Amino acid sequence: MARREGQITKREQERWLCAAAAIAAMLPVSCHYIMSGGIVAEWIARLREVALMGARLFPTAEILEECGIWDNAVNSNLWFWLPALFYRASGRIVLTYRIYQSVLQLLTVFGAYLFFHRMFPDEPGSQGSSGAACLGTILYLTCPYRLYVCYDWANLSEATAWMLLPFCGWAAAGVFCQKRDWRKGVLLALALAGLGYAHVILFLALVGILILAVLYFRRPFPLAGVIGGIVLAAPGLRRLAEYLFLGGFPEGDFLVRTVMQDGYRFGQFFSSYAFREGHPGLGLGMILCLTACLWIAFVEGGGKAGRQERFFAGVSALFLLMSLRYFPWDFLQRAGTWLLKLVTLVGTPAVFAGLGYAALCVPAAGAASRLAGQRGKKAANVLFWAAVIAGIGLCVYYCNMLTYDRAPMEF
Amino acid sequence: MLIYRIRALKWWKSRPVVCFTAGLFLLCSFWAAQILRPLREYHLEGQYRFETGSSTQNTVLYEGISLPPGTYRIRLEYQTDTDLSAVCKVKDGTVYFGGLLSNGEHLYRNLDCTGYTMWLLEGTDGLQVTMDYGGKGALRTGSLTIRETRELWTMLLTVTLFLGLAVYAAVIWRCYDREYGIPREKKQVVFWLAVISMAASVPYLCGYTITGADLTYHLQRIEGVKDGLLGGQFPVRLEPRWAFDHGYANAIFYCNSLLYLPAILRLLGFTVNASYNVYCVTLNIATAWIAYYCFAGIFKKPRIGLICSALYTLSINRTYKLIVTSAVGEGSAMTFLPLILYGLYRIFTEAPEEKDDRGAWMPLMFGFAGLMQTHVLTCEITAFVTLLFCLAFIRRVFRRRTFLALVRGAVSAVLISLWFLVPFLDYYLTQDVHIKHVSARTIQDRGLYWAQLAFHFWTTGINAPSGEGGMQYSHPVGIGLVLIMGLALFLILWFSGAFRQSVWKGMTFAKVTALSGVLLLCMSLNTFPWDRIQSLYPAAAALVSSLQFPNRFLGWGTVCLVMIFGCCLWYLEEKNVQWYRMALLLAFLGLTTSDLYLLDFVNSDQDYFELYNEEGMGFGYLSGAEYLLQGTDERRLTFEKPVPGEHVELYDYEKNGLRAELRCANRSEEESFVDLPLLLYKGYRAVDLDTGQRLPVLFGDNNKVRVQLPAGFEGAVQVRFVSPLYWRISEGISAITVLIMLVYICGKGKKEQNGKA
Repeated sequence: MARREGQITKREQERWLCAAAAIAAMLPVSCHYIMSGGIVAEWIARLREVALMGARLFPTAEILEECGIWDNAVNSNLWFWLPALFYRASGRIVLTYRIYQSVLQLLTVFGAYLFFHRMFPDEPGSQGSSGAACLGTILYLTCPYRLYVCYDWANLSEATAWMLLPFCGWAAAGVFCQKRDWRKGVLLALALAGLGYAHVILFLALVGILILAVLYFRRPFPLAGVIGGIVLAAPGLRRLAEYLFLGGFPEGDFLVRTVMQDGYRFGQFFSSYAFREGHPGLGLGMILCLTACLWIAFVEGGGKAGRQERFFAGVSALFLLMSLRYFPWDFLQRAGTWLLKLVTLVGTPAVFAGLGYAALCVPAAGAASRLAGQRGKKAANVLFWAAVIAGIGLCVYYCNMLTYDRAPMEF
Repeated sequence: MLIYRIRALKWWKSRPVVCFTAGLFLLCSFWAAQILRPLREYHLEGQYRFETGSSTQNTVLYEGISLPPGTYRIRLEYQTDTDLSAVCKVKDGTVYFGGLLSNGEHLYRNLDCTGYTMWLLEGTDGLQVTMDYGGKGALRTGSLTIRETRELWTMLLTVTLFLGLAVYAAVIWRCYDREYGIPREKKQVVFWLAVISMAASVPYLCGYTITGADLTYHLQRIEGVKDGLLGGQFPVRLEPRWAFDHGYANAIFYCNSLLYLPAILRLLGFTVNASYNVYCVTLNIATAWIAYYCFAGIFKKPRIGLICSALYTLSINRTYKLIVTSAVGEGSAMTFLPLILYGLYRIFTEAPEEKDDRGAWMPLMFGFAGLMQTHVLTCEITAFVTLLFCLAFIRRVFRRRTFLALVRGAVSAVLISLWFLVPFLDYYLTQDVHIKHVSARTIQDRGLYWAQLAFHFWTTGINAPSGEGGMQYSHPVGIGLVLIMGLALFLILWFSGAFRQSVWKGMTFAKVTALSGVLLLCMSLNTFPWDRIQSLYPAAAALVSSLQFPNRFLGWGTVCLVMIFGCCLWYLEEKNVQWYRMALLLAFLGLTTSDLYLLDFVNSDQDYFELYNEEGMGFGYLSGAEYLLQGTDERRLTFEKPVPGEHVELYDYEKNGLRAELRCANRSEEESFVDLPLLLYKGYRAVDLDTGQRLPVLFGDNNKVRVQLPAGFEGAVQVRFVSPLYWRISEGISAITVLIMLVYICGKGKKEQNGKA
């Protein structure tokens, strides 16, 4: 069917929707200040340190002690070098923060767009897209946990990791789904290394998942990419290795503690508008998609998900289990000194809830296309629009409430 | 038929099921072996004296205690001269988080040892018994005895069996579907009702209990049932440990039929938190199913039934009652309201010659019986609503079959509830309880503003509906904008004459429901002249006062408006598909942006606690103390020992619940007495165990049981609570009625199946 003049294609429509979601996710950046709260002070301190002292790979113990926040003690500064350079040149911390956050959000939407289009490619010869890729992008971008990490907790190391996760997924999907291609392996190694320099715990978790994927899909080649990633990230993992195996924190000390009590309670997964204890829920958009998944399985008795979707569903189940306060983290910590320290570094099992939510975006987005197969396009469209509106709407609500509640930071 | 079909499936023969059954059997055998194993007891000697005047926290009395996993009763001997100045706790930093569950117990001057439960889920070598001491009065602690109980193993056995049954049910469902094919419509209903129940239950799936103003009171009710059952009462009439072991007549006035479920879970070893949460989840499931059954029955369309069920189960008012204020009685009563509406609908709309009409009174019976046994005030309001409907359909009321159906419904509900009603009326008429003296309380200023009815984005709020603070930060007292919009749409359709073309037999009923809904909403407002009614009609003063809050009318307001919304959907689906879709969208928006919005805020903003053992909350909270005997000084109630009169000597005193035994001697030549720590409600009996003769029981100090001892009396006395014979007869009548109903329902079901076949 020829495209009429002035009519936008479905693909274009989806791009606009992704752009709308990105704009919604950038709302707090539109303030001419940095919102107080969370651990944004740590980022500022680290940035200033890099700007003043030059390109240091890790924050010093003095600077961490000064701001009293040790959440990112073993995470490298690499991703902050560029903003630090900008800050050094301009001397304007608020502008630096706003640009960094904006770039993060834009790169996140770009990465997610790439990843979900690789996961849900348009079928050859089809007139338009199934909407699954767009839905996945929007669900990822408006994921309440991601927004919490970016603005509420304001852990910019983890926010950077959330930006890199879809790139890693995109690279990994390329290596797993297509024929042996060294360029794709290199891309995976680079993306993984980037993650290693942003957030070591998420890096380790992803490496674990990639190894699981190698076993699940029985494709050994991606392992080369994973190993390459580990090698490239090695300097960024130095502090972690020193801390775990060489005894103590190299430049200072922080308390070893248990994390089990900070895990999610089961019911907390299902919140949309409000949450407590730093445990945001799945959000309404995701809940709608997952309900559709269950509906297809239970009522329609068919629409079996693809292998990839099932893998992501399994991964998310594992992560969500690990994020619960009933997961035996205390037992793990008893298993050895290095495990005791490693689990301490996790900080809170809620990190895994975030990963679980991210992984759930794939089967949730897949629900739309499976619903189309089961109940026709109309039902799939209803789900698509309901989830998109709920996702973007909640994102706007969350960002609005954040900017409404938080005072500007004073310098 | 169904059973034969399931049997024919031979589902238990498949290999996975056989393996699962073997595993289940092994696990259950292990728990059973643990239950049958002899119980262990650990005794530790030691003493500690606390210095008066200096408060201390976490003073370690015993440490390094080694225990295997299990549940234990902690019995620490102590002597103190002050109530509630210290708390005994158990701690353990060596077990995993959540591996030791206990809230400890306060110390009281008239008790000599603690007796609280702890759940130890992991073996330990580092258990500590500690004391938080406020510094008031003297305190000395003595030896410690830790007694193992079977509660952990019975709890695990129950959980295993439940999960096993759930798996079997899922297997049967799957096999049945594969073999015979379950209709898609049925699956859809089951699925959506599960989703609705799940959505409403999210706050109960967090491992804590959200605290509303009434929570402690209702937890005391549950504990009361448990303690009553343990004390040998059935049905439980007086909660033995409530009011500091004095026995409180709450169960007589406030029926606790549904609370037997959490109480039994408590007896099986579940924590207070878990039992309460399971109860509330069960309530949500029941509400979703009952609402669906009723609304789908009214509209004969499963989809509308589902939407109405969602609107009702997740309604603002229900969330407010059940979670925000923890008004468990009223929240439980809301489960039965749709049954009444459905019963009335069937009785007033089905033509006398219709075959279906025969069972029309049954929803009414179940509804009223449920209401009487959960919340009497809601039952009173329901009687008022029923009266409204009867007046509206007065000509039909006097149709023979309609009249008979109404009478049948009412009489059978009364008969089923007779076991509760007879003691209730008996006490209400013969006992001078505090509730009979509260007619001076006015309620109008606690009513709603008009704006509250149209409020959409409710959050938890902090202010109770008192009218003083306006709407600022008020609790979510309303019914939600969407239901009001449904009402507005209905009225527009009605007055524009759209319903004239309708062929639905229930349209007149819907109109009456709409008008009743409007009236009920008006009655919940602060502009409704409640104060005037109270002053003009003294006879109504006590009734109005007992309502406490005009917002109680919102429960029925919600039911009526949900039906009206369903009616709009029904009409629009027939006449205008575009508008029907708009109405569906409206319902969806209402559910997701108002009902779930409130649920989220309740779950994230409201305080909560994690309560494991009942001793952690104490035994003294009586809420408004409505059921205390008038003149009893609540502040003077505490754990007590028997107080002998002049020249009376006491020996061997033992008290267990509502039964006390003692040996005593009256050394004077005049009558004397002994006051026992039991509140003298009707039913206490004192007997000389040696001769079998009854001894007079009188009101003692602060309305306690006073046993009169003749001059020179010496012997063993037993005092216990005995239900009067006519109470027992009423229980028998109720039991027989329930049996008859069961036989009737089974017979009807069989007939229907035979008819279908």
